[in-house]
Amino acid sequence: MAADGYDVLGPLIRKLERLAELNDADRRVVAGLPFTMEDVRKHDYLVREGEEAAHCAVLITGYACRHKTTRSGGRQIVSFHMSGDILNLQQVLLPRADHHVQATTDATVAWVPSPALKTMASDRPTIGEALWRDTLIDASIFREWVLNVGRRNSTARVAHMLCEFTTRMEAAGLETPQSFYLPLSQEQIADATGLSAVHVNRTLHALQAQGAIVVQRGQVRVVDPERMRGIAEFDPAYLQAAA
Amino acid sequence: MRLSFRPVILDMSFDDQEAVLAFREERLFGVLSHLSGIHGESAGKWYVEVVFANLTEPPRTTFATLEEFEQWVENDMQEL
Repeated sequence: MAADGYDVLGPLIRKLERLAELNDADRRVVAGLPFTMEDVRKHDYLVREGEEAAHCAVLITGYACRHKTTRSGGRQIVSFHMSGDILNLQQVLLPRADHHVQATTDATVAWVPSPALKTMASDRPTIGEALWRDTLIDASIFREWVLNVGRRNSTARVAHMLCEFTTRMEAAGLETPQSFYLPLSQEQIADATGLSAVHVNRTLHALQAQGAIVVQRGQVRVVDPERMRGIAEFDPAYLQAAA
Repeated sequence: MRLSFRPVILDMSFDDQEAVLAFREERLFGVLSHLSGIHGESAGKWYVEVVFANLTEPPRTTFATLEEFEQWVENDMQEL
């Protein structure tokens, strides 16, 4: 029903509105998408590498990540996702998944049939443009992550990843910018930055000593985003409309 | 081949300065640090900072004792 769609798919509508100028008819079409809701637990897999999917997962609440693993079990997180993100949009056109998608917190997901998304993108050019722009921004974020993991020192690397995460949280309307806990474990930060958990812990204590964050019971609380942006030399331009 | 260990102090701004150099056949094989109190449950364990043997990646796990590290070198380390 349309009223349910506006309510449940609201985060997706707001995300698409950041990407292109939707009109009322566009919003009505997004709200009218068929969907099935699912509550998932932290660590649940939403997509597994190698599998084909006929539905796309729209993240409504909670957080998720995309990751790839080596045969020996080493995990590299390649992106984090939050409310409004379509976690496996590429499977509309490339059905076989080339990476895993996993919930990093308890989360709620709306499963939308891929053909409905494909029809929407072709029938409503502005929505199609928004989805296209979303994939281009994804690519821009991946390029930044290659630079981050490949060339930044560990303190700037961790700080940059945290800056990106907090900037995207703000853009998605999830938190106030001052002093909040990040929904990330040190293990997840390690897997996203290519560092060991031990070195991430040292790095977080170094950021704490510089007054940017506070580490309490393994949780990271950002207390001075401006200082952290300076340490990371963070320029959000690459995030485009995701910032 | 057994390893021998020589205590050193690392010039590091973090708390984990207590460390050992690990030697194999008179050659520097790797460096391990003794984890300090900032690491919670891992405090007191040995962390492999670097191993030099044929581009081997240091293990992500920590070791309760240096003997455990020697066993890892003997049984699990994959030299490229």
